[in-house]
Amino acid sequence: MRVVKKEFKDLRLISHYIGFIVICTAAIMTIPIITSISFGEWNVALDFVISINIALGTGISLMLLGDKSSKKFEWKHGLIVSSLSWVILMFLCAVPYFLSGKVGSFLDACFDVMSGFTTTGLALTQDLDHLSYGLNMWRHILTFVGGQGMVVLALTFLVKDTVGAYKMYVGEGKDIELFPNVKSTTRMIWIISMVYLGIGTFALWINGMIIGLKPVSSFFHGLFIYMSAWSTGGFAPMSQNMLYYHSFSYEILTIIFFIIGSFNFGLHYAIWQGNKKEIVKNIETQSFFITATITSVLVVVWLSKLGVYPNAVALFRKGVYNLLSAHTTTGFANVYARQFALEWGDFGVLILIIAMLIGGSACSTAGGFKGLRVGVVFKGIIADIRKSLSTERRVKVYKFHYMKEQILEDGMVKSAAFIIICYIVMFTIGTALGSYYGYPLLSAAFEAASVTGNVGLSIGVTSPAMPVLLKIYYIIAMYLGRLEFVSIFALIGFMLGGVKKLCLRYSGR
Amino acid sequence: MLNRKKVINGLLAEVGFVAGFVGILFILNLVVIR
Repeated sequence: MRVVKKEFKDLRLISHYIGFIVICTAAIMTIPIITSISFGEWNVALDFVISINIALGTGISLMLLGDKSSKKFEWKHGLIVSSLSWVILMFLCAVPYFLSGKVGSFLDACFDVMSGFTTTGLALTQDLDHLSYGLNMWRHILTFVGGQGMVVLALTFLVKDTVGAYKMYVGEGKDIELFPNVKSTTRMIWIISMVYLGIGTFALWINGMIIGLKPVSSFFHGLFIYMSAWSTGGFAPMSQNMLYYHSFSYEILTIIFFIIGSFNFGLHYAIWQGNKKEIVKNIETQSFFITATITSVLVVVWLSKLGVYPNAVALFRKGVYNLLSAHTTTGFANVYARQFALEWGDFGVLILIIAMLIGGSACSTAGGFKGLRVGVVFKGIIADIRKSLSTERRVKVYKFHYMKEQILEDGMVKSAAFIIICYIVMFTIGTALGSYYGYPLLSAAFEAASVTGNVGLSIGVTSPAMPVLLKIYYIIAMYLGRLEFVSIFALIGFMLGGVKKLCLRYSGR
Repeated sequence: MLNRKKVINGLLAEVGFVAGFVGILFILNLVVIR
């Protein structure tokens, strides 16, 4: 009996904090409601009113059922609150999609929500070109908030720092500490994002009007595209994605914004504090600039050999743009999905897969292995080679720069390698599942890399007609990839542990 | 917490650095296909 009571104490504690996160996320549904009412989209506004009531009802119920003082907040609670709240929010945030009638099923709605939350950018929503302003706003808010994190959003609303705040924050895959308390750190993350939101939207708004969009339309296109670019999301208001704009200047602006968006929030803060050298000294940015340059050159050489694009500008706009979009895990594309399979050739697709898997920076909005882990593992390998070749008996210390000088320890290399292996396993299973359903191996691998690395580029596999099991696997892969496995392993461990204890209790042992 | 002048300088540094990197990639693109 004591075991069951203990489990309930855990559940009540978790329930309280998940309820709080759900209420905070539900509150942002007021933005699409205001947008819908402004444009006279009454049916859409009603969909959101229904959805916000369901979400608030769920959040308040969870808080009433929970009790934050039932138990001391431990690391496992933080990890479980983060991972479980994402699942509950996926269902709640899918309601307006489902009510809009623009998705084939509730599963498709959940797919799009998880794609938004995880800043992947793959979409199963149909008739994108005629979507209401309200629903478009919701899609892009999901990806913008998801980039920062739902837990980060909730913690911003904290009146005072609680004991479990940092543990929940880490559970969402972020570990950078800009201030000694988490509340100030999450607020700073939002300040950085909102300052860039203002600048980016303004730049794209002006550019949109220059290329012929009407002022209101240009503003919303600018806002939506910026939200996606900053959060390395990949959603766009039109089904043709970036191809719709046919503008070199629009593409250049989005490249700049999505590369900056893929940087670590700690890096932004350091530069804003006057430490500009951090951008060149940081192991992550070094790793990103090296891998992005190598993969870009390889893609350009390969595409020019194929002769697909007629000149240097076209090669840059199609080749380098899509490569950088893949590398920063954004997922904006200015070619049709099937063009990757039909025009880019096997080597071009392979380079994109590698870029998608490497990804952006840790503690940013980007996905993939992350530059930090690639850099740490690479330095670890170099250190091991040097150690094995060295004849000296003394122990040499290897260092790297990540916000400050840090000593390269074996534990760091091991944990970085472990996460990379987890990504590769997810990618391999996704590839195998895709090829099982009859997709060509390279196409299956491309889509698996896209979901695992939270990229959003598609080669044509993702569609409302794809098998249900593949949709479910892609949702799981996006979720695991975004939360970087550890907190989900904690959730699975907690659930299995609870079941095991109950079984032992009922078997009388 | 944040100094407005430092923030503006930081923003310019970030945008400038990334724009420079994109420019280098464009030049590399020109050099490679020659």
